[in-house]
Parts: sequence; C-alpha cells; structure tokens
Amino acid sequence: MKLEYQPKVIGFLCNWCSYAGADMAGTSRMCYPQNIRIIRVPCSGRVDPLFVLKCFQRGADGVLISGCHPGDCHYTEGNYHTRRRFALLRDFLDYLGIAKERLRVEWVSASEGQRFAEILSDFTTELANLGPRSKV
Amino acid sequence: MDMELIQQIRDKARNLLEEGTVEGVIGYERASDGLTARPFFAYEPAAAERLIFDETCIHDLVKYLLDKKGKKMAIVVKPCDSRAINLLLNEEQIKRDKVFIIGVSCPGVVETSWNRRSETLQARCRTCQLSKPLVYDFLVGREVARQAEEETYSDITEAKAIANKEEFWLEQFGRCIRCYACRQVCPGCYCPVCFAERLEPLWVGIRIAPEENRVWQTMRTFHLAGRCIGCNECERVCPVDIPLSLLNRKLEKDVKELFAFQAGLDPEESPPFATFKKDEKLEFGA
Amino acid sequence: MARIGVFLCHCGSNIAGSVNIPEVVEAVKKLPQVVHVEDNKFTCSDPGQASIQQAITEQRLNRVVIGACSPRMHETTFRRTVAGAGLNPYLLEIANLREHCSWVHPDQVKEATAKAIDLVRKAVARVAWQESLTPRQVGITRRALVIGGGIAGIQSSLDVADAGYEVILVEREPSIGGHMAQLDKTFPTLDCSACILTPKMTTVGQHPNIRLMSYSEIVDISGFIGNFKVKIKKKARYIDVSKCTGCGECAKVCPVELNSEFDENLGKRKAAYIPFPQAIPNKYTIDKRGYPPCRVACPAGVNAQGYIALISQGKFREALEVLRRTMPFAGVCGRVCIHPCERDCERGKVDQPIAIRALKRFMADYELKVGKEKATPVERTKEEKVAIVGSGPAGLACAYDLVKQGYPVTVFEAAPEAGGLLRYGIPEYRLPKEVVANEISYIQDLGVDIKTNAPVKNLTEIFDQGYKAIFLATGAGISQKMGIPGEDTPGVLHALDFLRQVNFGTKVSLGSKVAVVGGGNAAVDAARIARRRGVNEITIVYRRSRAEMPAIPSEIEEMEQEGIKIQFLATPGEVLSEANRVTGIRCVRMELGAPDASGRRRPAPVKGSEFTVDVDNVIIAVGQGVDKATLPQDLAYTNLGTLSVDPLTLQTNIDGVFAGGDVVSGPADVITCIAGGKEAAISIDRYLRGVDMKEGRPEIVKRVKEVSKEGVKPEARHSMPTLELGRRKEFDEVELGFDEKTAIAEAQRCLNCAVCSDCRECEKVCEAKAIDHEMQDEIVEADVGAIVVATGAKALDHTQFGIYGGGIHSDVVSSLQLERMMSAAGPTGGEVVRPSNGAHPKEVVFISCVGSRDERTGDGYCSKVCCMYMAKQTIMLKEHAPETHSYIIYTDARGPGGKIFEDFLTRAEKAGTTYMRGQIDSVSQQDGRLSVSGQDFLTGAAFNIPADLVVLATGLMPSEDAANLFQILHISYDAKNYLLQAHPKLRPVETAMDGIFIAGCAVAPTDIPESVAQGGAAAQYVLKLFSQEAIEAEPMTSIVDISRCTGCLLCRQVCPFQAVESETLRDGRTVASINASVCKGCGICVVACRPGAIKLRGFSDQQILAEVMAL
Repeated sequence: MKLEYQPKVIGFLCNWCSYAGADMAGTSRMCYPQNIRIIRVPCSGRVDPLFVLKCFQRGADGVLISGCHPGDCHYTEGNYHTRRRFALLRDFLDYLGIAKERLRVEWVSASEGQRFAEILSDFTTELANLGPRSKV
Repeated sequence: MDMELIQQIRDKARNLLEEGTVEGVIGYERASDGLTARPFFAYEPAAAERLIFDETCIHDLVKYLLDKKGKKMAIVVKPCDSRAINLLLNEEQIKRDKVFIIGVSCPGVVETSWNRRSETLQARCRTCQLSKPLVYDFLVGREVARQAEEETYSDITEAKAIANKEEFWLEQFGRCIRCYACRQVCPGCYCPVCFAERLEPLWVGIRIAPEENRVWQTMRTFHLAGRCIGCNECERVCPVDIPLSLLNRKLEKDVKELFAFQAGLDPEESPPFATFKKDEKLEFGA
Repeated sequence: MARIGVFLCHCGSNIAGSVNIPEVVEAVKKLPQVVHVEDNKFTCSDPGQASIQQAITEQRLNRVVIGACSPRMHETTFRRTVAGAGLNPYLLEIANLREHCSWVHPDQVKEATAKAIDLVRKAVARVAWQESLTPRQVGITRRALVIGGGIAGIQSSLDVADAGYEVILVEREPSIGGHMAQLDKTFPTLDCSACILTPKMTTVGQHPNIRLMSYSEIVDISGFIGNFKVKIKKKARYIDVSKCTGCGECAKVCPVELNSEFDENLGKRKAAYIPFPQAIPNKYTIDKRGYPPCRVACPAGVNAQGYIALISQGKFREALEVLRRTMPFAGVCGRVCIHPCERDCERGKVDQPIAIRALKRFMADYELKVGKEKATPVERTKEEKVAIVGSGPAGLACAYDLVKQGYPVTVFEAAPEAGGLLRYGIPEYRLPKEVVANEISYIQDLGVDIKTNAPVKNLTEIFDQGYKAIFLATGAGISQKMGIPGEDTPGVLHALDFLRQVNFGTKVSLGSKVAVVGGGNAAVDAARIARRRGVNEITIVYRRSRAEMPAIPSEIEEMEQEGIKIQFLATPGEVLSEANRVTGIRCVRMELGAPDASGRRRPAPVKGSEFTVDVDNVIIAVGQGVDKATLPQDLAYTNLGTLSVDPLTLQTNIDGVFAGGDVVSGPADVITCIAGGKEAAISIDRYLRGVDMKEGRPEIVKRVKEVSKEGVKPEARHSMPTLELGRRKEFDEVELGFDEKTAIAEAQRCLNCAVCSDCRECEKVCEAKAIDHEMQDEIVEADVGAIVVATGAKALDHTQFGIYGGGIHSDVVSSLQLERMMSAAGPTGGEVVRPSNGAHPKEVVFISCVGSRDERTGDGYCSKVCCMYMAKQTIMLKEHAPETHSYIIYTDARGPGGKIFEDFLTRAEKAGTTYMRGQIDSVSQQDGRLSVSGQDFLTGAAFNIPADLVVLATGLMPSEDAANLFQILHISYDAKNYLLQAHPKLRPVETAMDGIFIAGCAVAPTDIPESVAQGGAAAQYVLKLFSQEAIEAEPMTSIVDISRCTGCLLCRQVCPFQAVESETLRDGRTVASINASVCKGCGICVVACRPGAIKLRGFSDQQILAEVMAL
C-alpha cells in the first residue's frame, strides 16, 4: 500500500514483551510499514511523558508506547502505572491540539508478532490519513 | 472588615509568639495602597497588631512553609489553602507538629491588583464547597453555610471546542517569557532543580520559542496532575496573561473523573500516580 | 570526548539483502564522535568479533555500536567481545537492523536503508551517554525447584540431585509419573512403559536429596536468579503421608466410588485412593471436595451423604453411627423432618432428589428390628454441671452434645413424660411414641439425667444446686387465639390443646362436622386426628392458597386422600352458636396481595363475600406462642414475645443462661430446634471453658463447587410405602418405611457430591492412625536458586469431538483410553473391549489429528506423537488379538525423529494396518456397530467403513491452569499456553527469566526421549548456575541523587519490589535510598520522580532523550 504521506513514528517498547514481539514479527518475516523507529525501554513504566513531548516537539507524527498486557508485567505492575499516566496525558495532549490518535498505548506480548505488525500498519495508515502536523 | 475576626487572629498570633509556641506567624497585612492585602511575617508579639484578614487576602501563604522547614511556624490558612497543607503533608514536605494552623472560615476572596479590587468573588470561590479549613489548630470566624455553585467546568468544555487548538495554545505559549512566576508561587512546585532548568538532560531549550514553552507548560501542568489544589495563584501572577487555569483545571477534571481523586482533601489518601487499580478501565481508543 | 566505533553486520544477506550497507557506512562516517566504521559479513563470527577487538585497540575506541540482529539475540555475546578488548562491556549499543528493519521491510531497499541509518544514528547518540557499569555479585541458593513430576521433571530432579544438590519436586497430583505412567508400551521399541519408568520414580521417592511434594501447587514466587522465594500449597490429602503404609485398607472400606482419572474414566476408584499401584509416593489420598449440598442445607449440619453412602453398602449400623455423630433423632427426623436437604439434593437436577428422610428413618427402623444394644455411657470428664430446662428436641439435642463432651447434664421437664412437642404435639400415626421413647432412652443411656414433673420457676435455685450453666428450651406451647367473636364457645378447641389431650389419652368428644382453621402441620395433624376419631366432614379453612401452605406437602396429600377438604382463601370472622353450642362459622373470602415480610403474599378480605359453614366443632390452629407464665423471671423478651438472645451465642440477658428452640425462634420445625440446641451446646462448652464464644461463628462451610452428573442415568426415586386408606386407625403409622433392599437401591442413587462422604469408616480400619479428616491445606515456603518448569500437557478430551462421535457413541474412545485397556494393570485387565458390550472389537478405525492441524476441530499445530502411537497401538492390537484389523485415517503420516521412526510406520503397515489418507465426514451408529464415512484423498472416492471401535488420536495441549502458573512465574507463553523459549533454536530450555528453565510438553509436544533430553538439559543449566561461586546481577539499577531528592517518597509508593527506603541525613532532611540488590531496574520510580533525582543506570534520561533527539 502506498501512502500519500509518510508519517514519522517513534515507538517505546518494553524489552520483555513488545520489543520481543517486534523481534518475533521480524523472525517471522511479517512486513509492516517502515515508518517506525523503535526505542527499547526496560518497562513501559520507564516511559516519561517528557519523552513523548520531546518526540512531538521533534516533529514526530505519532508515538507508540507498548508494554506487557495488564497482569503480565515483567515487573508485576509497571504497566498499570503506564496506563494511568498516559490515559491522562493522551487526552491532555488532545486538549492542547495534538490529536489523541497520534499517541497510542498498546499491550503486545512477546508472542504477538502478528499483532505488533497489524498495530503498526493500522497506526501508520491512521497517521498518514491525519496528514502532517500543523507547522508552527 | 470583620474586626472581631481580625482581633481573634491578632490575639492568637500574639499569644503564640509571647508563649514561644511558634517562631513566627505568617499572615496578611494591609498593602501600602491601603486597599489590598499582602503577605506578612510577624516575629515579635507586637507585630501581631499588623495582621488583618478580609476578602482581599488572596495569596496562598502555604508556599512560604517550604522555606521554613525545621522552624515551628503559625500560618493563617483559608479553606482553599488548607488543601495545600494536606498536599504537603502527604508529600512529607512539612511536618504537622511544626505548623500551627490558624484556620479562617472564609466567605470567599475577590480579584485584586494594585490599588484596585473588584466587588465580585473569584470564580474558584463561587464553586468552593469548603466552609472552613480541612485542617487547623485554631479556628476563627463564623462558619457559614456556603451556597456554592455547581462546578461544571464550562471553561474546559469551551476550550475543548476551540477549532484549532494547537494554534490557540501555541499562541498562548508564544507569549510566555519563562519568568517562572507560575512555578515560584505554586505550593506544589518545590523541586530543588526544576526540569525546565536542568542541563542534563536539557529537557527545555533555552530559546524562548512556542514549542519549547509548550514543553515547559505541558510538563509543569502534568507534574501537578492530581496535585494542583486550585488556588489559581499561577494564573494571577502570570505577567503575560496565559490562561493557566485552563490547563490545571483540565487535569483536575480528568483526575476527578478517571480516578475519583481531588488533591489535598485527605493527607492519607494515595495520589493517583502513586497507585492503580488492576481492573480499572482506562480508554485508549480514539 | 567519545571515540565511537561502528560495526555493521551484513548477516549474510539477511541484512545486506534489504539494506544498502555501503550507503549506511558513508552516512555513519559523518556522525559526530564516530571515528571508525566498518562492515562485516558476519559480525558474530570469530573474525567479525576479532575485528571489533582489533579496532578497539588500534583506534582507541571507548564506545562501540554494532548494527546487527536484535540485542535480545547477541547482546551478551558482543558484551563479552568488547570486554575482551579491555573495554567496559556496557559501553556498547546494538542497533537492531535485522529483526526491526531488514526482515520486516524486504524489497524496500531505499526505505530500509534510510531506517538503518536512523537506527545507527540513534544508537550512536545513545552510546555517547553510556557509562561503565559493574555487575553486582550475588550469592546463590543451591537448591532447585522442579515443577511437574512427569518424565521430564523426574529426569531434571534426578540429574540435579545426583550432582549433589537439593531438589524440591512439586507435583499437583497425588503421584508423580505423569502421562508416561498411563502408557502400556512405548514406541518405537515397544518396551513396557511402567518397566522403564517405575525404577526412576522409585529412585525419586528414595533419593536423599529430593524432597517430593506431591498433591501440592505453587502459590507464589518472588526474587530472582539464584535467590527465588517460593510458596507451595500442600493440599490437604487427609492422610498423614509420614504414617501411611500404603496398605489400602481405607480404600477397601470406602463406600464412595467414582471414575478413575488415571484410567481415563474407564475404571473406578474410591474416594480414598491411590491413582495406580506403582504410585510414588505410595501413599493414599482422600478426595474431599467440601460439604455436600444436603449437609449444607441441614440446619443441624447432619451429614446425609455419609450415612447414605454406608446404607448403599449395606452397613446400616455404621450408617446410624454417622448420624449419631451429629444428633440422636434418626427415627424422629426420619419421620417428621421438613428435609431441606432433599430440596438442595443435586440428584434432583437429574431426576428426583434422594429420599433422604426415608433413609434416615430406615436406619432407626433397622436398629429396632435387629435389636438395639444398650449404649455405653459416656465417661464424665468435666466437672461443671449443666441444667437443661425442657425436654423437646432443642433441649435433648443440647443435652446430647454436652454429655458426649463429658459434661454432667440434667434435663428438667415439667410434663410427666419427656419429649416435649415430639411426644405431646405430633400425633401417633405420624410419630409413634415408642420411636420417641427409644431415642430418648438412648440419650439417657449415654448419661443424661432427665427429671420429669420438674418445672423450673427460679434460675437462682438451679445455680444454687451447683449447676454452672442453664439452657432454656421450653418451647412455644400455647395456642394463639384468633380474637373473633364466639371463640370462647364450648366446642371451639385450640389445636395444641386438642393434640395434647389426644396424646395424653384424654377423651375429647367431637361432633360430625369439624372445621380446622390454619394451614400448618398442627392444622393438618388436628384434621387427620379428627378423621380418626370418626368425624365425617372435616374442612380446613386456610386464608392463603395451596402454594403458601406451610405444612409438609406429602402430609397434605395424605390428608386429602383421607377425604379432608380444604377451603383455600377464606378466614372465619365469627363462630356462630346456639344455646352455647357451636353451629357454624361465618367466613369471608380472601385475595392475595403483595408479599409480606415472610415472602408469602399477604391475604386481604374480599368485601361482601361472606359465607357460612355449618359445623359442630372448630379447631383453631393459627399459631403458637411462648408462655411467659411458665418461664422464670428477669428474662428479656423480643417484641414478638420470644426470649431475647444473642443471635450468635444464644446467651440470654443473664450470664450463663442460654436459650434455644421455639422459645427463641417461635414455633419452628424439629430440625431447626435441634440446630438451636447444638449451637447452645457449643456456647455452653466455650462458656464453661472460659473461651471466646463468638470466635469463628457462624461456621463458614465450603460447599462442594461442581457436581459431575456425567453418565448418570435417570432412575426414579423409591416411594414410601403407606398404610392402605381403609386400614388407617388412630394410632397406626401411615408411612411404613423402606425395607433393606429398597433402602440400598435408593442410597445407591446418591451422587456422592462431596466425593469423600466423611463416613470415617477408614479411620476405624487404619492401623497406622494416618487418617485425619480435619487436615487443612498448608503453605510451605522455600528458598531456591533455580526453577525447572516441566508441567507437561494433557491429551484433549475426546468427548468434545462430537463430529467424530466422541462423547456420543460409547465405542468411540480416546487413544489414552485404548492405552489403559491394553495395560495389564488397567481397568479391563489388559483386554481391549468395546465399552458398549464388552466384546472384542474386530474392526478398529483410528482417526488422526483430532484437535491437531485442523482449525475445524482444534488447533493448527502438529501434536507430534500421535502418528507414532497410532502405529504402536495397531501393532499391539494385532498382538492382543491377531484377527483384529485396524485402519488409520490420516492427514499426513509422519515419522519425525528419523532413525527407526519411519521403519516403525512401515512395520505397522506390514502388520496389516490399512493406512488411508482422507477426511472424516461422520461417525454414526447402526445396528450396534459404528460406521465411519469420509473421503479418501488419494483416490477421491468416498468410503464407509464399519467399525467395532473408533479410536480418536487426540492431540496435546497444556492445561488451562498452566497459564496461571506461568503468570505467577512471570514467564512468557503463547496463545495456546505453550511456554516460550528464550530462543527457539539456540536457547531451547531457557526462558527470558534468568534462572527459570523449561522442559517437556509444556514447551511443545515432545515424545519420551525428547522430554528426557530436555529434562536433562534443563538440569544441566541448573548445575551450571550452581557451579558458579556467585552470579553477576544486571547493573541496570536505579540510584538516587540526594542533592535533588525532595523526600516526597513517591518512588517508594510505586516500587513493586520494596527496593526504596527512606533515609535521614545529618542535616535532618529525609531522602529516598534504593537498595540495589533488590532493585530490578524497571524504572517506574524514575518517571515518578519529578525533581529528576533518580537515575536508572543503563536507561538514563540522557540516553533515551539522546535517542529521541537523534530521530
């Protein structure tokens, strides 16, 4: 699929699940849009809202935060904190004019390579449809 | 002016200073315009006579306690300010036994500026549900049943409906000169080094640009999520009139709705980012 | 100044195929601080690694970036490479150019190359902020935990134990052995499974280094490699394994039989059982699943399942003992109980409830029939005398429980005979006096002193006589009046007075027409007595409808058969009389309104509906109340006029005085009164011993959760024989009771809901005194350094495959069932038979891939072992009976594992097995035989094979509980609940969690040699760990900069591992401090820390922000 606009996507992936899930997508040769650049974090609970703000400041069209499914956190409860923090931030950014569709929080396990690829395809298409962010 | 109430404050303050219960009393005195009020620190019993209280006493004095750690201080506290006391107690920034709280039953304060005061109550006072401070050692004034308006957050609803929100906010942030007055006046801002002034890493660039300012204001507000007690001092002191209440109140509303939490009501209750519920439903859908 | 070297790997064509490496090299050369760039065909190869080391030395590199495969693959390898050149191993960053780039963007060279440059730039930016880190040295607990006692777990345990280390082997079933123990022969060698497995099992059982915890489960795990803490639940097996000798006497006397799981439901086992003769440990287990519904429903907690189970075995005397453990009234309750137990009986969901009340009565009848032995008095072990006032069911039940505990008990009865309402309130045709007398004499034989004609008026007098506690159970003995005009006319009787007079033998004269007012048992009793006194026309007047009538339904039925009419929805408003003689009653019709407090619809009079009934007598039975005049003074009452007591302890307002039965509850049924007496006995005992009367009350009982009704064939309940209508005289009992044959047959209908019936016959025969029915689950904690997970898989349940006739036709069996039939120790003694008729099958059809490789019926994966075991089973069938002919309908016939496996398939074919490649359409039954129809894929023709037996080769799948365990362990598993390996090829027995290893079918379907190999391999990793002096713990932990810490301690609140402590500095400030040996490096605290005082080493803000800024 050819996209009208190639969005820039930054992903923060938990080392234990989603990063491994992305690895699995690779080992299984599942294709997904090239737009994402992945940053490895030990836990989605390590993702500071400031990182997300900096991504958007640096011109990212979308940010993905992906951790273990609730209940499966490698550190038992990091993703519950992630969920609270970004539930609040996402709507706040929307309020400030950065559409909530641009910040995604997903739960992808190490075995869900397929799901990871699907999420990225979907996210990239959605961002392409939104088009570039308004220039300041 | 309720002279009886003022006399109660002065008597108590003098008494505390004379007995040596406290080292100082933080309260209000008449400003030099003869119309408005300004913060005042009484360290001698005689100075207690300068204390006043009326609807121009708008400042949240609790911020000063952060600078008086280790000293036992008395402080004049309005119901709204008492939430700041609870916040700082929860965050272990002040110790309850180091503070003597002179609580004031407050009918609300008005908008003031130099040599000028309005006749109407501040917006936050119109929806205030507290007829007396949540925590105090000595209560002055008559506790009157409040006829508070319902908090509808209509300002937030309006701000949400702005057509080009990014443009609107970048224009607001574009005015910011990063004087940090909003931070300095805030009782919840007490980091030794603020993230905005950190060099390693450099979160916020030095240049005064709307997108740098946006990082500053967004994160400032976010650091106050579930912590802002709504004194609105930040907006009052902003020299370039950025509608900061629209930021703070947006998160206040969301925290209330998502986590059923309001800052400063109970010093024992875990703030929203300290805890979680395993089965809570938080939406990440569009 | 950082001097960064960048090394780009082609990975053959894996990366270079989609990424233009020279272009990347050129771009990277321009990056700041990069002083060296080179590319290699295979960076992980020896030359590749050597080239990195050479560059570090020659170019004086102090940072290294490698663009290669995922860091999860080779980060450790490359850290060692870097360290080999003298650089700190953590000054390395890997750009994931393969899994995250070239492999997912094939044929997009331009985009993939641009992305690769971004990824390397990001890594370069990050590595510049990297710091030297030193791993911490952590000690090791040299004890292993092996979870799962199948062949893989057995092998792991033995290997670790033989090397000299302790092993805790946890198995949730009563015995180790797993599925291998169920097999008859093993492929492809056809050696006997038990013969090769049993010696290993025995070794485990006897090994000094192995602590075997069977019938146990993992509850919780914390800690990390080398230092795990585990909590293990030892499920109560109700047999002390340290005492059990495995003699099996308990199982012999156990009356409860159920399907044997080990024999795949083809055989039976007892509730006290050992799964198979060679079980290790060779100890019995009692399968107890809570309280049966009948016992939960009974207000007095009578264990009906217990005595019913024994009746079913013809052990009538023993059955009565079970009842008498709880209460003494088999004959009484067997006749008059309202039996809530039958209402809740699970058998009722199949057809009709068990006739529990009739069985109870049968036990009493039997005792009287064969001759009662005098009960031995209970030894008096207690000093404190207890006085009981009133000898009705409540008083006697209380006396019974207390005397059995060794208390001296005296019952004071105001009437000339003991029994209370049992004697004076219930007519003889329903409850013969000799039955009551027999049961009271039994209580007396035990040592209870009953004083009749002894009314108690003054409690102080009783206390003065040396009694330490008093129980008041004087009943609700006065009839309530209706308060209507004419109620005092001679000829108007109140039911209780009427019944009492009849039971005393006083003459009562009645006219020819009698009206009885009321709908309870007293009304029905009065009416039927009147009939027996020759009254022609009897009408019951009841104000509600039949549905609300509180009397026992069977009694109402009997009454109507005796010709007594009921006038529903009517109530008398006046008794009419002439010359002081009753002539009739004037009634008004009622209609039912909204439900009242009792849940019954409240009746209301219909205006203008008055009518008159001519009668000579009126018997009023509208309720009973407490007679305050007969009770001692100073007692407190409720506003209903009953005694006021503490609802939990039944103590009255006077210390040491308790009350129960009707005097507290108002008129109630017998079993509720007995329950009250029993509760009071508990209170009195605690009161006299001076312990808390409220603790643990009310007792919470665990009702059995699910009761299997599988395979239960409907069979009607046996009805109670009754006296013919014409022969019913005043004193003749109407219900005649079961004979022995009927009782046994009825008892055999019991589903044994709780499995163990708690009859305790096993206790009597266990010479080792190993049985403890009160045993509780126990939590054992242990420290271990490594964990092997070998929880295995289960074979899919063949009955879920209705498409192949599974669960529909009994001659469709699973491959494991066939295996059990083939086993000489199996349910058929080694005979392969058709379950429907026991005949030997001639034509056998095997259906392969049942639940495997077929999205239609199950899952897409191959279960691996089925092709081979089918071949084995066809060969064995031929050996069992040469005339047998087998078909195998297969999808693909696979002989994985090379060597002799393929030959084995050929051998099966040579032995006469017909292999057909195809798909099954249906399995149907005609004329007692099965018919398998489908399509042959090789010829394209349809087939229809008549078969005597169809065997479903069910696939393997981990059990549902496995996923729960994996979550406790924090190890990953896939959508089918199979465990994920750290690397599917290179690290097959490791998990992503250091120190946790995996083996056997829990990972993927494996055959026996593979399971053994993996078990051994996992053990090898455990031993490798244990052979180290100490282990290096990841240095990526958090650290606090106290100059920035505000002491808010939000970090402490969010830390999942309690790694944060607060610390007071000399200047009085409180700050956070992180214990690096507990910190696991998640970084949750870093984000929580607003002042930025916490840094996660290896994932610092600078490092991650540098990555963001580089993109």
